[in-house]
Amino acid sequence: MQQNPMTVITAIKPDSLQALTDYLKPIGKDIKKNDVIQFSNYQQLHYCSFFIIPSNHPSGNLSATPALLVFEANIDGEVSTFINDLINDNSVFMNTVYGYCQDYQNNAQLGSYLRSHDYGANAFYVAHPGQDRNVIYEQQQLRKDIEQYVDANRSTLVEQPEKIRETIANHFYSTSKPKPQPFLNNNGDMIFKAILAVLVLTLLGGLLGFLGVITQIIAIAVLVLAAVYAIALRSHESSDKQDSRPWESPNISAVQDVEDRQLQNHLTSVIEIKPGCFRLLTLKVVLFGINLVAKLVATKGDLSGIVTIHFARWVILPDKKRLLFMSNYDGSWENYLGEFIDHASQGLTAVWTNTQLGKNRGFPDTKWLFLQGGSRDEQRFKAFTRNSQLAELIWYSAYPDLSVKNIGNNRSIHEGLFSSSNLAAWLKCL
Amino acid sequence: MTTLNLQDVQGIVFSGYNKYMSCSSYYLLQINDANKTKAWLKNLLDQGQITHGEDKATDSTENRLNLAISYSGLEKLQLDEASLNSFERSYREGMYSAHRSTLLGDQDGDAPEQWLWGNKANSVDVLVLLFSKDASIHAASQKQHQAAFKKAGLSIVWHLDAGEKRQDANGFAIEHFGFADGISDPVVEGFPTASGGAAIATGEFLLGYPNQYDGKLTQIPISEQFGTNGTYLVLRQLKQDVAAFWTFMDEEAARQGITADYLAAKMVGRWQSGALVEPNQDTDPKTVSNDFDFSKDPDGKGCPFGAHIRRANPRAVGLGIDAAESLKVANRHRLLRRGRSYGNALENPRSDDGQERGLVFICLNANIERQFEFVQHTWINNVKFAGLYDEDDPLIGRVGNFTIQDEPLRRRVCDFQQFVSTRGGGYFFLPSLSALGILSNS
Repeated sequence: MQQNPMTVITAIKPDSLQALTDYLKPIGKDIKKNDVIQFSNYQQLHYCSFFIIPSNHPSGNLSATPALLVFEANIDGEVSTFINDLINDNSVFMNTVYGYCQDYQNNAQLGSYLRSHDYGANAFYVAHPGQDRNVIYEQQQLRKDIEQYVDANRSTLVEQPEKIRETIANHFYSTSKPKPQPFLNNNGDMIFKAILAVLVLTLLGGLLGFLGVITQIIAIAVLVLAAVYAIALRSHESSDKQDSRPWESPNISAVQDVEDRQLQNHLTSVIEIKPGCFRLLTLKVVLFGINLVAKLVATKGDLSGIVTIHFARWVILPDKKRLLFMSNYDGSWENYLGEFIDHASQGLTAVWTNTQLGKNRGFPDTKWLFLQGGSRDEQRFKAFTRNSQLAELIWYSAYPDLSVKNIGNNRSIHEGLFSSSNLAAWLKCL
Repeated sequence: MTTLNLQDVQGIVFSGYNKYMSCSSYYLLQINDANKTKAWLKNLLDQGQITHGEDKATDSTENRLNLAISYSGLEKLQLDEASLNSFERSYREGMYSAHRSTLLGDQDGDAPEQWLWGNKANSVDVLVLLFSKDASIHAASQKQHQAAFKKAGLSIVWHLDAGEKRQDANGFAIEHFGFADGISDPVVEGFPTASGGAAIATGEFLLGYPNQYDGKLTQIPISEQFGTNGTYLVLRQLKQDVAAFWTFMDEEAARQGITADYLAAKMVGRWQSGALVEPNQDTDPKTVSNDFDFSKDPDGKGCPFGAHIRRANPRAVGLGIDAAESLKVANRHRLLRRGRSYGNALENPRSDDGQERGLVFICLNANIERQFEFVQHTWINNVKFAGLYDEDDPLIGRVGNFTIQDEPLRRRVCDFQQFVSTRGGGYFFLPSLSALGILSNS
């Protein structure tokens, strides 16, 4: 099945902020045993979270807007199916939560209310596309069983090295074959390159007049526009002010409190988009590009060198003034931010250079959108991200003990069990 | 080329004084009277007792002394709020704080509440590191300084004495489990000790100098004048259960049909001599070198992925798309180690004598969160390190499995025991001599 993002964003009634917080917080603190809602009952659910974006976050510039409740989830299959399941199975919880929100009427219209407030994602990354939650569970169990079998039988298995896999496969004969991976996992890379090649060739061919007058005019227009854009970009970049004073958002303690309690973490960042349509437009184009890369190229648990993200998404908030980033990742915050800087500074800089924490408190100085500066400024970038973060009230992970690499490796173990080639590579997976 | 004002930097930054100072003690003190403490500090400075980088030791050198201050110490010395807030967050929160303990794996039996010192009940303000040439000089020095602490309104919360020095033929210290230690110390640009090899930027270990991020400066606390030439010092008292370690090795090795020395070497990543464990080795080759980067052992068939030294510094494998990128990333998380063993060696390593012994782990770094805490959390304690599933550092971790990558099939040690526990610890700031001057006059 395909994994989809749900991002339901609703305005909270001004007098209900505290009551809503008080309702959600205890559930988040006891995610496994609370008697209100058991997220593990939803078999299509990988991750979900509830959090509040205060009206004054990240700066007081937007105080006229109400506080927002965000309910986001990463699921197998259709969002509407998930919404229906929620309303059917946890009606009290859903109606209580949205009873605190504006424009909610009653249970009967809750489904359409949620669907109409779902903003999906402007860019969405899935580490292992097509890997359903249940498949992840099954493959983890299979791996455990095989490892235990190997522990118990190692001395006999190594006597006939070339037959190790055969012996194991015979023992696990009742295991069913893995489903083939989605088409784009194996071919997206090529499609992406083909699209790029066609674009470049059309541009070149157009310029040189091989493709007729109209194409030539379009190609020239594209070049002129690019030059105008570059000039405008540099002019913005040279007048933007970065956030250079050392300060800490009062939210940091709350964010730390819900962090590093287990293997995985959830990061929620809400940041202002720099005013004016230039930055908003640039941001939309960059996010479109990242989304394309995520769909076609980054399909194997590796987002431009970052191998710890399970799911991530960017959403431009309905007010078009703020940008929401969310990610479910392995390991500590310090490591995650380090990976951003070490491996993915270009993509991140291209996104966040369009944002600021407040007036004259922008992202670290950047040149040419992503080529220089930005997230490469380690400490400023970390402080910028830290100050943009919000603590979630509820966060659920369906497999808190599995890393992105584990899930990929489990699939390799399962697939390799039915293969007769690359024995040495398969044995390395154990 | 970075030029350092060596006279302004405390000597422990450049050396652990192992060559000339055979004795050392670590005093963990509490300030009871800030003014007296300042006068004591001023006196130490005026008399030139605080060792700096220009104080070259010789055969006749008798003592060395260095001094570091915790966040609560700075509070007691009455720094203003803005100054206090300019230190990095981990230092301000302290090693014993809830968030830091979670990150460091100090839980249950290792939790700060169980510590001998460094927790809320026994908080520490000042750390004094004393070194002497021999035992009689050390005894006299300890007596003299203890009297001075008393006069300075400093009470002793805890103190640790380094054990009898054990050294191997190569001059490396031998830690209590019996392994040569201190082999891998980074070469730092601009340090007088630097010689050959690719050097790590000065700013990784001293504030005020370019760091490993394209030469950026790590945030300097208070002011350039105060912070430059200072750094952060991390100290942990790590108790080692030597008999449990070797008894476990004997039993597990017998079960697996291998030798205890082989199993222990796989867990550490080095043989007892300090030689790297390489593929297809069954015994200690006794050729010690630090000139390797794991690129000849990409599958962990010599030094396993989960081995202690591979976790502590993964070098050129596994942190990026190629060796160069991996090394670049690894070098953003290096530590300068300056500790020693405490307590004396266990005579029969299979039979406990009821004495406590272990390691006074000391490391220096310009950014505790990015260096010490990162190494501890993301590499050492990470159950998912290098794509593993449910493993911990087999030497200093708590409990878990340990996979020994092998041909044709891996071995696995399930549920190894905990051999090392945390007994105390703290984050300190090791100020420059001029910063100590500012503090003593404030």
